[in-house]
Amino acid sequence: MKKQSRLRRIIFPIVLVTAVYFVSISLYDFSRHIENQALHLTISHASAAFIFIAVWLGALFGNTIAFFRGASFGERVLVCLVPPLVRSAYILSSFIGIYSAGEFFFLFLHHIIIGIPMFALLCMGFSEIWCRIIARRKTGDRSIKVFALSNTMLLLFSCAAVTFMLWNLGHTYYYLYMDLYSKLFL
Amino acid sequence: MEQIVSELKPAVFERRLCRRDALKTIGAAAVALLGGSILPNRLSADPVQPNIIFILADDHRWDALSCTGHPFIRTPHLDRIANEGVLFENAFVTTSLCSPSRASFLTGQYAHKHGVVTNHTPWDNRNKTFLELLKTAGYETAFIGKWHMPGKGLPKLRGVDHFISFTKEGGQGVYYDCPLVIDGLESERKGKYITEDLTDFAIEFIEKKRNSPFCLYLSHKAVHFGFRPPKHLKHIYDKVDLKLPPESDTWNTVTRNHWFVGAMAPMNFLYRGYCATVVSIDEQVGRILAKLDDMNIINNTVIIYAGDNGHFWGEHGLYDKRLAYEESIRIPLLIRYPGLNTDPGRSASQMVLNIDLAPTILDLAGVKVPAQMQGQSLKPILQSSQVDGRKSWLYEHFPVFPIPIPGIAAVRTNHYKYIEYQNNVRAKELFDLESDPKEKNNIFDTMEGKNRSRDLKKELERLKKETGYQFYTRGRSLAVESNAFNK
Repeated sequence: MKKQSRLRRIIFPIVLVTAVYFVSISLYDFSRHIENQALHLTISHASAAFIFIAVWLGALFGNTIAFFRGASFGERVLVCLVPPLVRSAYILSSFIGIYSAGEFFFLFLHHIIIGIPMFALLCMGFSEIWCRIIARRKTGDRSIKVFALSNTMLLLFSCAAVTFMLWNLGHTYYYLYMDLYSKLFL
Repeated sequence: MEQIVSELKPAVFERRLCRRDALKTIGAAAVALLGGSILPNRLSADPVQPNIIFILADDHRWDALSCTGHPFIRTPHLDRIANEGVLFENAFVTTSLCSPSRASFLTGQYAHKHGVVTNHTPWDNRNKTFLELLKTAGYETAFIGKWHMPGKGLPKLRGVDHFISFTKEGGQGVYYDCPLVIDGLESERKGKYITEDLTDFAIEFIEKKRNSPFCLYLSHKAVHFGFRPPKHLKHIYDKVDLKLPPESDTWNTVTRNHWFVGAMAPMNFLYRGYCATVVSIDEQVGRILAKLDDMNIINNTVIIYAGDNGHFWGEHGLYDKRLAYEESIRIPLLIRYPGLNTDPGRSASQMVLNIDLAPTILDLAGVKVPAQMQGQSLKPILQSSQVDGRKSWLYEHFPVFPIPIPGIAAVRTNHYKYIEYQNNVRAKELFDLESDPKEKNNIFDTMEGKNRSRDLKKELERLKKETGYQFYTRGRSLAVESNAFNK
């Protein structure tokens, strides 16, 4: 792929996914103050759909854009990780002033904080597959491997991490996490 | 009385009355009438030591009953308790969270006193429960159901003859196949639905032959998150218009950090499950009432039903509980005791608290209420509608890792609610509950608010002092930050 400018291949997909998240979450929060029920529900449903896309599928879009704009594998990882990390930081900000510094850092291991970046990597892993298939077809370059070591490892690692965190609907990980919390802080 | 009258009939109608006979007849009738006014109480309830059944539901909010006006949930058996007893329409918890509230019911104390300040702080077995005191007074006691106060397994509760509980999922338990610990022995419960299973044990305990009165503490997992009704009720509300509050919507549960409290599904789906699970509790309460009817001991038994805290279903855009708003802190509280209550079906408007349960039960059992209990007996309110209730009370919440809700201290009066947050993480709030019962307009920064909040702040500080308030950051094991609200 032809390498485009840093702005177009890295900054743009990051800003796009992050902006969709923040705009939709602001719209969603605003919607409950709308007295007209039909309008309230329309905005809340629409904004919730965009929140879902930004949180869970953002990396699919971000990675696809970055891939076809010539971003390297490392840059694509960055594109996929920055929006969920910004989101995690935003979520973490709501804990400021409530818990100690130690507990605050322990929150980083909470599956809602660490799980979303992991899920983003999983999405990136899937997105890599179709991006590589399309690239091979488009360019005819047979050296592009659909399952290269880097993206295969990424896919396996993120799949294992997400499965571990979601096992038993997330209860198993949660109770392990809380047991560790009790041992460390109580 | 009917029997006495019928025995008198032949004497009255077979011969002509002389003066002496007439006096005898009048005397007998007077005795019969007097007896009639006394007998029902004597026959129906031992004024000293009635049986006591306390049924505690989890997260059952005050208006999720047909007798409190829910638009579609039907709870005929709970309604019966209300119709034949007293419905406390202003009942609250001092901390809106499972473990602290449960410990408050047991001990009659605020969370900062009994020490179970969050769902992660262990129960201190030095705490005295009303069960222990009842046992000393000659009661046979049983604790059946959710304990949910952490520690190394279940404690050896003093004064409890039968202790049946569960430790699965941090003590939260599960709706199906929940293993139980029955008097110390673990038991698999394959194919069992938890509410029914616990009720089976409760009925078995009630049926037991005994010479002493009994106290049953039946503490359900339902209707806590998971919201799984039994199979036959699973679809009863599938097509019902849920009539959720206007500010609520399907996605409340998966937005605004609600994932941290375990919501992973749309609001409508969860709420339907919740409502159906409430019905399952009602069904099981019905089984207990039927058993008491069958055994003819229902009128000699105090039956109390309560929830351990409320629940948001989209009000203020919120889900779950913990915060000091009405939906979170108000609970259903129903007490049926015909031996004491002479005007069944009454709604009591006085503000009553979960910490009032223990002193009430002890008072009804004729046991002296120990000084360390901070609640007040509800016996006077059960007896008469003319009794004054408390004027104000303290609400407290301590941060529960990993939930992004700060510590809270609040004072609620009949007219106002004033709320402070730990480290001023959120702005102070003041609500006029009479003109704004839904607490939508924070008047703290208004002229009226400034005037009122000074007095309410003083009242809050007075209540803190009176109850020995301390602010805990991580349970009782770590430093106390008593000035967390004054920064």
